[in-house]
Amino acid sequence: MSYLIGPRINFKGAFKTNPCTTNNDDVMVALDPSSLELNLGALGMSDDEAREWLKQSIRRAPSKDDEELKNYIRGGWNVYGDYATSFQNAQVTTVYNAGGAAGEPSEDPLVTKSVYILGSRERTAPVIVDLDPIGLTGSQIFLGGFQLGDDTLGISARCDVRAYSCWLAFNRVLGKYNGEQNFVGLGAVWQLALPRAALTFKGEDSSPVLRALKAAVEAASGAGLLVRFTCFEVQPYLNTPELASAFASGQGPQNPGIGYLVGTVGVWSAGEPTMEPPGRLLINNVGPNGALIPGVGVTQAQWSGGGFLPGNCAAQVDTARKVVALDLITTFPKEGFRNPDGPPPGASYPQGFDAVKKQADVGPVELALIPSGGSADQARSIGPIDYGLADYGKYEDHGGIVEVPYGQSLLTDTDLANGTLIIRGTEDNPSNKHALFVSEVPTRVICDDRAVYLRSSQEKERDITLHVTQRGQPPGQPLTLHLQEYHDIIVLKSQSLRPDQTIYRAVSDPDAEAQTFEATHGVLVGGPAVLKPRLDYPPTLEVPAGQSSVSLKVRVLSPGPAALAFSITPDVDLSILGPWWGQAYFSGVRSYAEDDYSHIPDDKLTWEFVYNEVLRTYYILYPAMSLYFPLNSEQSVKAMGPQILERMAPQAFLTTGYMPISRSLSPGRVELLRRWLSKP
Amino acid sequence: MSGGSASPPGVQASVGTSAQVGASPAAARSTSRDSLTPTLPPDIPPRPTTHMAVNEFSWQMFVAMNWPAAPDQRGAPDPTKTIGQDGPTVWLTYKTPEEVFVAPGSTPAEWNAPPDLPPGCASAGTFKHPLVMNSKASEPLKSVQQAVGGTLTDQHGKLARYEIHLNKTSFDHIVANKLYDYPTQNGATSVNFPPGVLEVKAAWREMTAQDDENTRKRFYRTTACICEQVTKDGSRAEQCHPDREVGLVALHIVQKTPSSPQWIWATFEQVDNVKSSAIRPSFNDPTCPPDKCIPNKSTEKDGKPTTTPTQVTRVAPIPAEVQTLNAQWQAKLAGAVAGSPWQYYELIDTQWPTNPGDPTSPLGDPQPNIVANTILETYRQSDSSCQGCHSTATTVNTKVKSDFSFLFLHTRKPSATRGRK
Repeated sequence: MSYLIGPRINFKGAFKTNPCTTNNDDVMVALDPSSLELNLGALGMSDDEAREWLKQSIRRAPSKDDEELKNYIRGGWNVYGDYATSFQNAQVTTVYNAGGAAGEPSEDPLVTKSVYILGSRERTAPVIVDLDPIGLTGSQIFLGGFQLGDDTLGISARCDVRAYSCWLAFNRVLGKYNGEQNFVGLGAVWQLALPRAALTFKGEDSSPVLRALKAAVEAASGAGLLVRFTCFEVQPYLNTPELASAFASGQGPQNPGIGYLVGTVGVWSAGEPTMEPPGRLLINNVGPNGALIPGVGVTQAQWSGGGFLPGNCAAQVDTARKVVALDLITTFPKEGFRNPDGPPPGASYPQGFDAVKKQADVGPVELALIPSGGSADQARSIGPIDYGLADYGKYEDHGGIVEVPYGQSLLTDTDLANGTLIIRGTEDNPSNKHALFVSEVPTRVICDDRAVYLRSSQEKERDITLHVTQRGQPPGQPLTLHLQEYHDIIVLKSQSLRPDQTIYRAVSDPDAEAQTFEATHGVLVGGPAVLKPRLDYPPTLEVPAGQSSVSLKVRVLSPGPAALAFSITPDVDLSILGPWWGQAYFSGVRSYAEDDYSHIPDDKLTWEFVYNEVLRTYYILYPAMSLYFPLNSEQSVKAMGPQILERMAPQAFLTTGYMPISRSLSPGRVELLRRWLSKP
Repeated sequence: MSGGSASPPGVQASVGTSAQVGASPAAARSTSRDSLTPTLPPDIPPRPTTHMAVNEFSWQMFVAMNWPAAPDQRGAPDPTKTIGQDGPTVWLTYKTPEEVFVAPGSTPAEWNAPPDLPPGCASAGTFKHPLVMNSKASEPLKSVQQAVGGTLTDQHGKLARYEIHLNKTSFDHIVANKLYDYPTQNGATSVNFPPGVLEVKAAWREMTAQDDENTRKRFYRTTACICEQVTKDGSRAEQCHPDREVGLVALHIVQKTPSSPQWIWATFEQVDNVKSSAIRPSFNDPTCPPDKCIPNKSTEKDGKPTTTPTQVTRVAPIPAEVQTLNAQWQAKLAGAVAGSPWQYYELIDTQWPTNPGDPTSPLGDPQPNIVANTILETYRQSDSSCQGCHSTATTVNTKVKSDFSFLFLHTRKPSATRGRK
């Protein structure tokens, strides 16, 4: 059982996230990518001057491929972000329970109930945190719980868990966008797993779907609940001129992004991954590493506005009901932006959410199966797919999950188990006749440890567990995984790919800011760029037949963030993935700098020393923190000492209240601050 | 034990305010007075509402709070008077933290009991409005929760003085739950004030001989007994100066309302604080260049206040729409009582929770994100968030959030009693 073929609850609403953008590598030119500390010497400013500098408007090109200079706030679109992330006005739209007719929603009092993601403490929000503060390989959300419904009817969970972004879709919304943010057309899928022990069901007597979910969770195979959701068309409230105007007048507005939210709550079965949706995976193009590689045989589907890349799809065959359930929540793009010209002046929530939504018309499509050992031209149709073209509201209300019956297709369960699922244009599709939209990845490698933090000198290594499946099952034959280390590095557009020319050192160049800061993602250690390895790991990992879970040991060699990628073919350089890196199979591993201040005697442990070593970077880069208490004030920090110590304690690390939220402070510096705060 | 005497009732100002009571109450009931009411508005308009509607609410609070107080009932307005007429304001008759957070083993005096006066003030014979803090950051308040940056020195070389008052709803809740008591508070697992709780924080400057009548008339003035800690013969002592005339320069009015558990935060200033075309600004020297008089930089030396004036500037201008609203209310106040000093006060802005019920937003999405009073948050204007700062408030054990109120910082520890009884 999974969320695809078991009882489930669908919901939709808005997704709001308030990240601080000042440490993003494409805006912050003075961040040391290794220590993650601010290079104030390069800035040559006082702390308060640096804070003002972050809020100034500059002109530069928005991407490496764009020569046009545009206005930007130097610290990005949300200088005052506090990382809070939440569902807004999310409500249950439909439910399915095990006793319902196939594909038909059930009546249930849960419909219209509110849905929330929660922080670790009462009335706090989850927080969004980069996997890697200088990279774009993905994000994570730290959560303290989940709530659906209320005290009398619904589900609640109190547990500190993380959701990771996956399935980044670059063409989630199609159409002409005249606004300034280049990410508004993106979409991402997130998933969090709520363990059985953390769950409380209320009022299941009156709710068939709650009863079904509870029974499934409490069954021997039940591990808990999965919450899978997508957000797309996320757009900041204010545009750059509005932000610049506000900053110039001394205001400091927060500028969160807000977008559409669609999600599903279903069963999490034992052995299923928590990082991304389980089941069989269909993607736009299957490269030699089993992941999408743009530019390498990519098949673009067509719509009236040109070509586009469909997003991922999960599939699961329900042999009992003879249906293939498809998760299409991010596969097919929506057409048209709710605010095609960017945020309207003085924008405020709900920011155009009453706009009519519709799917991009890509013509009729179908689910088909390439027989085992066959080729695409031998694919056999299973059945048509309703991707919401006729009724967008229904598509969203059902969580983007559709079922395709195969009982009449003459395909057997064995055919489906061994063949390759594809979604393609139908024979009569005018512009996409038999065009391959997505195709099944034969082998999936999922690492639930998507963001590993090695936090102390006592923890130089960690075991990482991988889920390895072939067409949704444990591998039928032994296979070998090939491991590689990648780094994100940052160079000026005019400079060659040399790690010693990282941009934080180039800030003294007066022309530097006029250039594009090109962030190069996922550069192979051992490849053309000379990068010093940060991790020690086995070059290969053998996966026995019939086993879907394997572990490996990762050891720290030197501090800094790295991505450990897992390929099924040797000698693949995933650097070509570029911004599509999120499609690779990888785990982010962050090892902290070996800061050791134990030799500093207590009488040298002054406020000035502690401020310079620990707090200065945060005072400058995270101005939202000083809305609570100013980090540059000895009196303030001392007075907040008990609360700071509580939030910096190791046991708080996985909670939403941990400080700093970015989790970029080394254990040595944490200890330094702890010592100073503990001084009488 | 504090207070307890039944007479004289309530709080009586010994010296009238600067309001020229040229108009009788009847005469003051002009058309412009009709919208001026002593009734405290219980809540902002139902959401969705506008920021300016909330600012109207703030002005209504301002009028109710600064209405002349009833002579025999603390915290109540005198319905026979109108705002701008003589007498202490309603909020001045509220309790102070010193009256609530009494010495260990003691119980706060009942609401209407007059405050105990410091010995140096009692000699004056008649109640003097005591101002015991010389800065928001001074002892006994050592917390960050008070404004950061130290003392503030005005253009006459005098320190700005600060005080806090709380209304009866707040007082009753603290007393009923014995939260004034250190051990009880230390064992509390939560603090949740009822709607209607209101706190006021005020800043004053001393009026001097250099302040001519044209200047003085622009301030709400009262007589204060100013006390401060001094070091004498190696030990600390309290020295009081009765009969000092002070003018109100800043006023926070914050109220927890039924719809806003994160409170409504309104802040006002006297219009001549940092810029004035009418008189010499109280806290700014327009002739002093920025390299000599560094804006918003403390003039303390070695951690101690000096007589060097602090050059205060306003970092963020008052929004244009608020200025328009201010002009409307200032006209009403001018029309209510001739020469009313209240026409020389202005709303800076109001921070309020736009989405108070969101279970994932502890602050309820406050707007604006930053609001600063130049006299109460001089040194951190660019980071000043009422809700953000007050959300860090806790009880004495620092583990329990105290519902946005820093009052509990005044709790007296059993082992280290400090200050007046």
